[in-house]
Amino acid sequence: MTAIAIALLALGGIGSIICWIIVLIKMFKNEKPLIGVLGIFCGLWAFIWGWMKASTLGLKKTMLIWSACIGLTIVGQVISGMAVAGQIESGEIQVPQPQSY
Amino acid sequence: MSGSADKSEMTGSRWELAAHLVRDRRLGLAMLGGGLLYFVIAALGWNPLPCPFLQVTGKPCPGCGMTRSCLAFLRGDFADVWLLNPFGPVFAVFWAVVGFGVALPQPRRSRFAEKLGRIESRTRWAAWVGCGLAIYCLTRWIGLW
Repeated sequence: MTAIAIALLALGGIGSIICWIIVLIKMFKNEKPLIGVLGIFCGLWAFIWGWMKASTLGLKKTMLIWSACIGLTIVGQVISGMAVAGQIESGEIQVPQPQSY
Repeated sequence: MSGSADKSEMTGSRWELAAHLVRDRRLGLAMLGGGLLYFVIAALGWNPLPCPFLQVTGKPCPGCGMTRSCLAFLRGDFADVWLLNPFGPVFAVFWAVVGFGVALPQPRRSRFAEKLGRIESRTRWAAWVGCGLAIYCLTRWIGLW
């Protein structure tokens, strides 16, 4: 289960980064530098900008792949969460107790 | 003549960010809506879009902690704002201004965008905040923050 989660997270992560770079290139070519710089530091900004300009700049395929990658990451996060919860329940992992000062 | 006019217009608008989002209402509304949705999800304690910069480099980007900082700002927890990202309130005010501008009806929205653009071009606040964020980011990378 953990292996599946890791595979999904890796696939989604790598795919997202590639799509992010493609959108950033389009952003710098078509917008002011300030908008592009924001896209470097805010993935959400680049993601929304990409969808808003998808039809005019021919980014629809890239954005669909990026959205699918985010979906994969979310599924991976849920599976890894379930795996960790299972390990905690079976006693394989101990949850650290908060220290009181 | 028209070429130089276009060039001067481009130079003047280079520093516009909030005005750009107010003018391009569809983009402004999408950014606001997406940001608000992300903000609500983050408030529930989940991060569905991990920072790509952090994923690639392993180092926090200047914007890392911004959402949590804004949440702390809204809670009035200023110690947390300082610890998470001191620029959080700047962006909270920025989005409030964009939200106000986007909500205005058409003739007033254009006038507001024009005024906002003039202020942004004159003050170049985005450049100053960018420099501040870069310095802050460097102090985080070398472990001073």
